Amino acid sequence: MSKTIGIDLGTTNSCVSVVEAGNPVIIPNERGGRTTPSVVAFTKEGERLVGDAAVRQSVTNSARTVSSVKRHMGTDWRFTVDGKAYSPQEISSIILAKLKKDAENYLGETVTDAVITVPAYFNDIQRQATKDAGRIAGLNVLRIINEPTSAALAYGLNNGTPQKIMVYDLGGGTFDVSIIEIGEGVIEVLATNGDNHLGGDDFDERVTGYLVDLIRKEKRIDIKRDPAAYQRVKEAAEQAKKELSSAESACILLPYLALDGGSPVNFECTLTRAKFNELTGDLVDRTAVPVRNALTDAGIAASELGKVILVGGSTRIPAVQDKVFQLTGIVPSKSINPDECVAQGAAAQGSTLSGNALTLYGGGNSILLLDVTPLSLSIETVGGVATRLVERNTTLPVHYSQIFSTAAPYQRNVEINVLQGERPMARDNRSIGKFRLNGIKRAPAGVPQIEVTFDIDANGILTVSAKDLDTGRQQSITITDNERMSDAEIEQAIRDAQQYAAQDGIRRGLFEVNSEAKRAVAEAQELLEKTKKTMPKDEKKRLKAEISDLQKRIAAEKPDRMTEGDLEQIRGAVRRLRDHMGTQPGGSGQGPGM
Amino acid sequence: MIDDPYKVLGLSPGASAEEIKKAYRKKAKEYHPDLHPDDPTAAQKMNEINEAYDMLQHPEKYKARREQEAKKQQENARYSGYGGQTGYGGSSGNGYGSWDGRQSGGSQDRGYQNYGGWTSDFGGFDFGDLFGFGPARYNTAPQPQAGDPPELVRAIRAVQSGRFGEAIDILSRMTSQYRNDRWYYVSAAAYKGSGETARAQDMIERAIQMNTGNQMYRQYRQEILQEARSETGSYYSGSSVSPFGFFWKFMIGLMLFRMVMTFLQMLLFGLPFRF
Repeated sequence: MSKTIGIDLGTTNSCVSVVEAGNPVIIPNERGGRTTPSVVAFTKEGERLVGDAAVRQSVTNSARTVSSVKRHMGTDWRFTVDGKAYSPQEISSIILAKLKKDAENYLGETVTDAVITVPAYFNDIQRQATKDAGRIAGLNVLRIINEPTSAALAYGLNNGTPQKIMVYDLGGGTFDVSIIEIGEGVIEVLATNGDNHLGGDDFDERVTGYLVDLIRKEKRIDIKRDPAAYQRVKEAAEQAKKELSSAESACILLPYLALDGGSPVNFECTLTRAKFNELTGDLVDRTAVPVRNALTDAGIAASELGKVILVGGSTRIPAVQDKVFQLTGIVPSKSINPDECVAQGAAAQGSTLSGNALTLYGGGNSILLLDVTPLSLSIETVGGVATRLVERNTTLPVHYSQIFSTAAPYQRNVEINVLQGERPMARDNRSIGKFRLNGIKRAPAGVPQIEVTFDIDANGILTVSAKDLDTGRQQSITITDNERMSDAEIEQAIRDAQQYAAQDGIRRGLFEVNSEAKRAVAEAQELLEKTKKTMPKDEKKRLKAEISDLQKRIAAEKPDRMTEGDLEQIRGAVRRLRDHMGTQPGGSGQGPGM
Repeated sequence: MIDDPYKVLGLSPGASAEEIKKAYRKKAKEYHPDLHPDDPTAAQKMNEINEAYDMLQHPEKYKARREQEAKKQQENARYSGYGGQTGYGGSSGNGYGSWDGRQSGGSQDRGYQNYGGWTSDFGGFDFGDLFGFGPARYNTAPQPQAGDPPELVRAIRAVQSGRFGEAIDILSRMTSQYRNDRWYYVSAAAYKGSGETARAQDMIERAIQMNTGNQMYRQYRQEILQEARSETGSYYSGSSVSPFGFFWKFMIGLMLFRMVMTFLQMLLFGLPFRF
């Protein structure tokens, strides 16, 4: 049976892990890195770059490079390149496909099953989008699990002491906080809260904005107009942020940033930690409300926590660590790696789901994760009120039903509008699906009895059904949200991805064939030069014809539209040339060091 | 719905909170579908285990449902069918649920609702909420009471003088053993004051769950819900004027809406259903 991998699909960085000998280990990428930047680039030659390779060329190719796509999951955002509009799911699938390949290279076998993590505060549509991205990448997604829960699982594997812990997860683009109880091999989520649009990217943006203003003041140029220079400023801002986590000040050097009236503009400045804290103080403060709300929902005070775990790269910022201490009165634990623990927890859960539950450190007890639904689920009732059926932080799986009636006399049908969110009025929540129950018996208002049932399985998949208790008529949900990809769209995306993979093979083949052909041409020309005097005239003519034929073929190559047959033709031309050379005295007939 | 949560968890009635938690974890390990993927009944069993655990932790949430079901059975027994009755559900109007927040659903709703099911966009405006809440009126502002712990009294003082943030701070530092219905009620007031209406509603629901007989809490819930409604109102009226100015704008909007609806009904059905 093939192994199940755990993927932390992050906003800025992704990480993949697999369980080996009872322990989740991190799978390095092809460059040996333990995390891979969640960046995708489309080169002008039609090649797709993922990770470090995409980051490296982003300065010169910023318009064709996508980063932080996770922020757009579940929206109708599109990234257009070469006339094709890519959905967030498709861009994410390119990253996932790369991680899958890294895992296959590492394990030496095909990988299909995966557990992918999402921020705890992702709604149903965002989760579904992530699952779809996995499908497009050719993965069978066994489960979508919450990032802080996953981190707690990784922590719980090594620390079985019964206690309540807080996971404070400030990543590249999202903030999550979960209160989790560990005990007797069970990891139970008590409450979760967060902010889907708060993360390291926002810190970078603040510093970038500050630098842009500074450059405008000092050098009198608007750097935002120059995409390449702006990209360099952004990278310098991120670099400075990272340095300030350990140093009190960071030096920013940007030589030859732009041209101003023909002379180069050099920019240099020093950013102190104090200035950085001033620029980003409000972002750090924004984490306070979710922390407070999660604690309130769990029904405990911060003093009842046994431990606080920091997850996500942004928790390296000293001001963030200070804030956590200020909010909880607890010095956060540094015993787990904030970049890797989420993927490790996912791998551990993957192992459980494929029938090999891991055991707790020091005990023969197999570990069980009990997760919750992060947002309340309700239906819209009279007056536009959101009537809750499943409250947030309810442990999964859950089955809940309630009886409703009609509001108007002789009403023949009811519309069930399923909502996700905490606001009392329907219109302030997110509608995640609608359906209609018809054929209700004519009766005065309040007489018909309609049972509405919410069912969420351990996978977090929600089914809503309505049943008329008089007639026995029943109707279940059909999601009609237009931001969700339809099955047909997903199938198309899967086909596109497969086609791209095939095209990718051709592109690589072409690269080899090309260098071989060029070498053969060079050798043949050398041979011509060497045997200028000895070679018969017609032989010379034929050889020259072969050379120019091959040169024409190379010039006419179209990497995007070539088939395996086209490649074969070029190979044939190379062979003919080589055969021809082989019959000549002085021709080697063989390329050196093939 | 399960009948006996203790039985589902393998406990005898009156088990302590610690025993309940232990039993829950044990049962979860025995039946959770993640650990027993080959057992087709695992999911169903786990649903029951989760429901039993929830029932023991939030008994009030289920109490209303039991009453409702008991009532239904009773009425079913009394009438051979209920087609002839009017006003099923009595004073709770069109709401059966334990906390659906529309107990005072007014008759105004029904005039233009005869096509859209129970989810009318604009039509379901509840006039009762604007004009009053039945005969009994309580002062819903928190006052210190005998038996309140000193921290709670400090929080109440903070709410009284409008320092809502400070009140929330004091309240969230109080440990779980102090979190009774009073704690939730004062929290509701603090969150309402700081403009976090959704939170305030959660808090008052919990207070009601813990102390079902308290009419003042129920009235306070209505006040919070009213605020939530006016928040939504300003969202589509696009104005940030005082609630009273908004009210008149809303009334004018409502009248225009009714005129348009009547016109549409005339167009569709030939004659107006009612004016």
